[in-house]
Amino acid sequence: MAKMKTVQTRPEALIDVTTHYCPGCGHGIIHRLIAEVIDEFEIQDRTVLVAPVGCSVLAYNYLDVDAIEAAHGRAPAVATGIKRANPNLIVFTYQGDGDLAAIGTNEIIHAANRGENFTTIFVNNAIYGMTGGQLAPTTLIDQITTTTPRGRSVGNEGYPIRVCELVSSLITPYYVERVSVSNAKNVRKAKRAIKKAFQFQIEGRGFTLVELLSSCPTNWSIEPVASMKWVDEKMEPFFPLGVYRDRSKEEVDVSAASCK
Amino acid sequence: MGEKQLLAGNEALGEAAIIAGCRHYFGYPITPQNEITAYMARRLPEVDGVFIQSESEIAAINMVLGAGATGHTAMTSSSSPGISLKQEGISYITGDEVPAVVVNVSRGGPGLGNIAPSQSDYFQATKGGGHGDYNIFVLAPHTVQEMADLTITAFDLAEKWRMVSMILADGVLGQMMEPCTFPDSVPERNYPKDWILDGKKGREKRLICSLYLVEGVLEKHNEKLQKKFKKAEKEEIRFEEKDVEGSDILLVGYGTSFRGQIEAKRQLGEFGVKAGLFRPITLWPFPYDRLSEIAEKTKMPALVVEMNAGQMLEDVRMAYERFAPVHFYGRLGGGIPTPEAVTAEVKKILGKG
Amino acid sequence: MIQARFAGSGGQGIQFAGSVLAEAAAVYEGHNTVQVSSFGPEARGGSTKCDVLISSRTIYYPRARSLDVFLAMNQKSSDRYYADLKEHGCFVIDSGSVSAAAELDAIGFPITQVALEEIKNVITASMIGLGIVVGLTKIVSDEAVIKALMDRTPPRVAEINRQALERGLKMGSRARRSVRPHVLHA
Repeated sequence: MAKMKTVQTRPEALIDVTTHYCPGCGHGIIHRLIAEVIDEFEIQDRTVLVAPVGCSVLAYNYLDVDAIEAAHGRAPAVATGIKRANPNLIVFTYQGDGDLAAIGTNEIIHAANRGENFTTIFVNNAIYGMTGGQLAPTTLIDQITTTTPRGRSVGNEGYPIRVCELVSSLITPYYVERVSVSNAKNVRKAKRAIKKAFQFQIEGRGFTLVELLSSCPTNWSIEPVASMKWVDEKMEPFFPLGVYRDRSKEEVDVSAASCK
Repeated sequence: MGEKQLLAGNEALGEAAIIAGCRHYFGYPITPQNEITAYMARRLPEVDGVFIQSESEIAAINMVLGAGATGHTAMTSSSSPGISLKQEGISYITGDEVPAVVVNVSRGGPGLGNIAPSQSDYFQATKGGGHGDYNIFVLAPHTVQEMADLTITAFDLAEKWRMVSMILADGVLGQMMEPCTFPDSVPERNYPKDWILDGKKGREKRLICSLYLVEGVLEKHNEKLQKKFKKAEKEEIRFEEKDVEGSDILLVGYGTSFRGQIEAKRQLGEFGVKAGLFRPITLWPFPYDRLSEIAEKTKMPALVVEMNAGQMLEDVRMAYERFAPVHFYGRLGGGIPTPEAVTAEVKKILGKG
Repeated sequence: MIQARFAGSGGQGIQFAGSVLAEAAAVYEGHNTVQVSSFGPEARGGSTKCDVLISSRTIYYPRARSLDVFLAMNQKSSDRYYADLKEHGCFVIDSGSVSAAAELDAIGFPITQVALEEIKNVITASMIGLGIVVGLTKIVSDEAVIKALMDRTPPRVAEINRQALERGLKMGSRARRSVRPHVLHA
């Protein structure tokens, strides 16, 4: 009998429970990536998750770390309070596109701009999931949702908001990258980005944000496999993947902004 | 006790918070409470504390939640329109059972109103304010000294009960200067911290939340909260009274408007009218029982004086009207009831005009 | 009880002058003291007033209603508040900026002019005004008001503020001999 070798196990930070997420939903993949990163940095004992409102409000049922719920959009403010009060903790917010880019735009922009030393995991699936498929700030033009039954129009709803571009227009944020979980190769890249963001937080560098393009087959009314293709073919062209800010590689000159 | 200092109410409140151990303050500018924000910005770094001028009142109250969740009770302050914005967070914090201190140096409303003193946020403060079935402690100072003393009490109540404590003041109390002294220190507060988020080292993970989707679970959670509120209603009532027996009328008020009533009592004495004074210090929990007791025993009429259209009036009526009549005199939009007006009102009630 | 009001334009140092008087009365003379301010929405140029109530008894009602002392630093506040002055109350005006009807018995001093020409700093006018009021009425002692100023003044303007206050005290004391304001008791 051939000797068996373990090549993959469930990360310790991931709880062994049945998922409530729909088939083909990206949240499960992203939860696992975060759990792997927490394991690899051995920070499970000092990590705090700030959960949002939306499908992923129950992220704390999957991740075996201390957690707190935030009101819709307020996760960056709650995370600010936690991290400022106990800087030894590793704090991350897990936010969807409605949470972060609609109701919580103010909070995310200002936490990013203060350079709060926490990590935001931003899951962009171009739609509101939990409330049943309404228009999100990141919904694509012509995309049909329950509140854009004729498709998103520029005239009525404007263009989708590109969060990485918006956040990286600020000077303070330390690391901003957009990745995707649409295929195995992208998932590997996504993990590298999450790991980098946590690494920078552990080093106390400042605000880090990873945007993950993800799928919502249920509310898109697309089959799970096809929905991954939809991410690649429809979302990615408008939301280009890549690093938008990495201050470990660029100098920032404060003097231009100083009145001294 | 420290030396007597002349301080504005807002500054006295800020210093008292520091003495009470407040090391985290989050706030957004709004008149007439800006002196608190400025004071905390100046003082907190001196004691290794954290000050953030937040992007909004909403963000500030959520920062208070975050800091509180780690076991560091934080404070935020604002004035009426800003307190409306904080109601979302106050509701969550209460559901989460996290201690927090919120200061409302209230102003005239509705809407933008004005920056003059007002007591028109009584309902909002004492009847919940945000969504859901809940209460918060509401403390109503009437002097600069009490702005300081009750702030220290607010931190204790918040941590003891894991609830929100609100200081409900007004523009006059915030900005007027009076002599004030501070205690050198406050008693240590050793309430259990077996709920805070500090990383799951050596224990099961903890969750601070107010979401209970499984059928019946929210009901249990709410029953637990209500039990706590009922217990607090028994144990934490504070009020002040003077000459409530053998008087012709009971003057009931709180905060700034009560100051005019004390003066009115003096004036009435000169006319041979005896007035008793009753001042709830905690507006929640409200001293219903004591007021009922007074009414039943004395049967004297009561005059409630407020800087609103009659909000505390409803609570006084609930306690008092079964036994004796309750009258009201109020000023709106920034007026402070003068002692003369109160005196005239009393004479009218007693038929001595 | 003594009820004093300082009024003028925003940015003139009216509130500061009031707080120095209040501190002198509360901390150095041990009186019950309340200082209340009110101002318009403008940071500069709008009208501002500051009331200081001083009494041997506890002060409850936090508003001045019958003024013993009124210092008006501009025309607008003079017109607006002189009616609050009680009969024989002490009415001090900056003669360079306020013209008051003769029957009001206002005592005029060239406050701003002295600030500009002697102290060389217009912002010290309120300190001169405070000095005049104290010199005239002796509601607090000269020592108390100087000590209170030194407590509250930012260090970089301490010297110039003190100079202005002392100049005002001198102006007030000298005038006291001729105008004899009614004796005031806390």
